[in-house]
Amino acid sequence: MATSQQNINLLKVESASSPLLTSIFRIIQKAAYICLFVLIVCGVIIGTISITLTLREERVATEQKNLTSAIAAAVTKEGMITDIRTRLSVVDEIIRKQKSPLPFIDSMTVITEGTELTTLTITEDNTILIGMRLRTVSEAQTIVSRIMKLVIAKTINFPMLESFTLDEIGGIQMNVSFKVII
Amino acid sequence: MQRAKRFLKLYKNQVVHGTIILISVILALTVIIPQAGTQIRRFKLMRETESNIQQLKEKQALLDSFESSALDTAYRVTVSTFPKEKILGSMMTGLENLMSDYDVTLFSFSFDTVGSIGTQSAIKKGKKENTIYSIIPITMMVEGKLANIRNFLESLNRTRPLYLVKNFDLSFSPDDNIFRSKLILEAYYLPLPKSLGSVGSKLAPFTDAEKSLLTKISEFPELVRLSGSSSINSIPSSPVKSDPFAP
Repeated sequence: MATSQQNINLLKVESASSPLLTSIFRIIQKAAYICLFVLIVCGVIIGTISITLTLREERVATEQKNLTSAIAAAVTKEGMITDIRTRLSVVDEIIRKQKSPLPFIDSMTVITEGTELTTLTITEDNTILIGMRLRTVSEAQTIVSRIMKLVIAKTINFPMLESFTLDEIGGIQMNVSFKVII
Repeated sequence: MQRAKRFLKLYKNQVVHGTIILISVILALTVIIPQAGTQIRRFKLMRETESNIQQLKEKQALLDSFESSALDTAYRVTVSTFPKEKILGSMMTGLENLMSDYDVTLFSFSFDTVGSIGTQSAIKKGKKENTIYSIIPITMMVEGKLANIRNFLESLNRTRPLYLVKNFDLSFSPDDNIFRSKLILEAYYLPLPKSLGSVGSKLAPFTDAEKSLLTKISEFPELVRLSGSSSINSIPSSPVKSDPFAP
């Protein structure tokens, strides 16, 4: 019985693999399936997110457009509010800077009440110089006691008797200075 | 070639699995990871946009809460306190009226800064945060009884437009029993804003301090009557240049 040489296959179709190689092949197989699975899952997740975001973006864009046009329509109102706020901040600053001239005038009025005022000067460092013409020494004493009361009340400080002159007709010229506490 | 064919025949399954892994890695690197990054960026942008929308909603609600007539009144009060333009003639008339109310006579009057009528550049500027306002220095001499001058000076701190008494001196003339006072005042103006800000810019409601200041200045007597031009419709939506000599 003659056998054709062409039909004889001396090599095994599947070569015998070592156990190590077999386990590596098994790992590669598992890794391939896992990769495929992960790829599909990630693709589905990213696709879903992308579609959701696209829909949401469209909704948000429409909402933003509507709000923007509504606010743009109220631009005059917004301008007024901004301008009011700007002016108020400056007004507040100026009002804080304002000083009342009343302490000067009031303290001077209290001291010179009932006397004949001859000179009056207010200097830049809040000092008031007053010249008065008095008839009697007791009037001068009254002036001094008024000044002392204002000093005690902390309305004025640094009172100074600048001059005290008795003239030939019996009148008294009294010059005093003091600083007003603001 | 023969060897390659034999290798493929022998390791067909392993080659297929290897190819799957390779393609998966390539797809992950070129598609999945960049796409994931893109989606994360889109999501962050979306969150930002939603936050902006929330701000826009709050801003719209705030704008809706302001009643037009109340806002118009508040605007008139602030503009009459701090004018939007140089109203030199009206200021002078207003001061004269105030003096006549207190029986004080005007002795001399001058606007001090040279060129203040014609040019913006010559005007002294004040600054509060980002606001630059213009100062008009005024020197005036008044005379009258002490009580009248006192009341006049006191009232100057509570008028619309607002003045600041920078300095004053008082002199007494015993011959005619009259007091004279030299006053250095500051008047102010602040032109309307040249731009009104963007739609997305934040807008806050008036604070209690601002409200109380508004109430306080609304009680000040108005020396200069403003025309109807200060109404709500006068706020321009584009820059204005009321002073033809302004830069």
